[in-house]
Amino acid sequence: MSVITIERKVLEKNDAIAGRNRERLGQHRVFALNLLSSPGAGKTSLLERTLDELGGKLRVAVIEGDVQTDLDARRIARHGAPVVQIVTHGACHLEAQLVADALDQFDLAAVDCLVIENVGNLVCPAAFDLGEAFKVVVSSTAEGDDKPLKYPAMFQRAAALLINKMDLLPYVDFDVAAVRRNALTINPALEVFETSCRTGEGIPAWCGWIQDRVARLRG
Amino acid sequence: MHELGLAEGILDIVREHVPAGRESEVTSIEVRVGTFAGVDPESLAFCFAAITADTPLRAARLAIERRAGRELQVVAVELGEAAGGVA
Repeated sequence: MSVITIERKVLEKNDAIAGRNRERLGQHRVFALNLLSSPGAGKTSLLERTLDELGGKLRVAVIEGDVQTDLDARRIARHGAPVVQIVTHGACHLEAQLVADALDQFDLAAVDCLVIENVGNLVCPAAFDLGEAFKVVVSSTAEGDDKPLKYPAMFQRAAALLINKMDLLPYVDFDVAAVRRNALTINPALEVFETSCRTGEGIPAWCGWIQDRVARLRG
Repeated sequence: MHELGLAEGILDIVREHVPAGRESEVTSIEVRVGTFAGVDPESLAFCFAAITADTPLRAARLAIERRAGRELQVVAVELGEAAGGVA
């Protein structure tokens, strides 16, 4: 019997490409976010609200990741932001190479902030670095308050949590305090925002966080 | 359900390290999977068995070691007697 020592990361190829994406975004001082949630938590609606709120303040570009269709990219384009749609044809997450290809289609010198809307899925996208500065996870009041406990990997890696659909709170059994507590137990550094795309609640605070981060990056 | 892609990643790495012609001697592949790696170990082992079923690596099994953290690493391969007694 003999043993060959290997000690290599399974995702080393993806990580290397993500590193190059990060370098490229850094050269243009583009602040990049990887937006993650289960399907239907409201990622695209939040993005639409975010684009409207940041209009005239920041130049925001968007990469849309979906299993099928360019419906989301069309929604984003209506708000005047440069957008590239990635269709994964069944794959459950975005990989760094797909983002690298999408970056070719932007004028990065004219972008302050890039938001990558990942495929709706709380499991697989957590493992794939795309080259973003931060991951942001969206969890809605309609989904139930046990998400941080059920999907700890996602919450552990995120810098911010948006508790979305706050306007539905009177109609659902959702314990905001429990979600905050559970999420912060997994990741004490998490910034938590309570948002509603219907009422606009929390959108200025969330956009303020983005502006603050962009200002830090761009000095 | 990205374990299939990860199993293919493991297979690629193993093939790069095992000398040509000795793949059938591989009995075990030690893989470290962090609890926050976002990977289901059973699904990973199943996918690996499925993609190696018709290859010289069909006897190789994943020995999955759970760790704290986000780690997902191929640590080592163990070679024993080749299936069918070929040295």
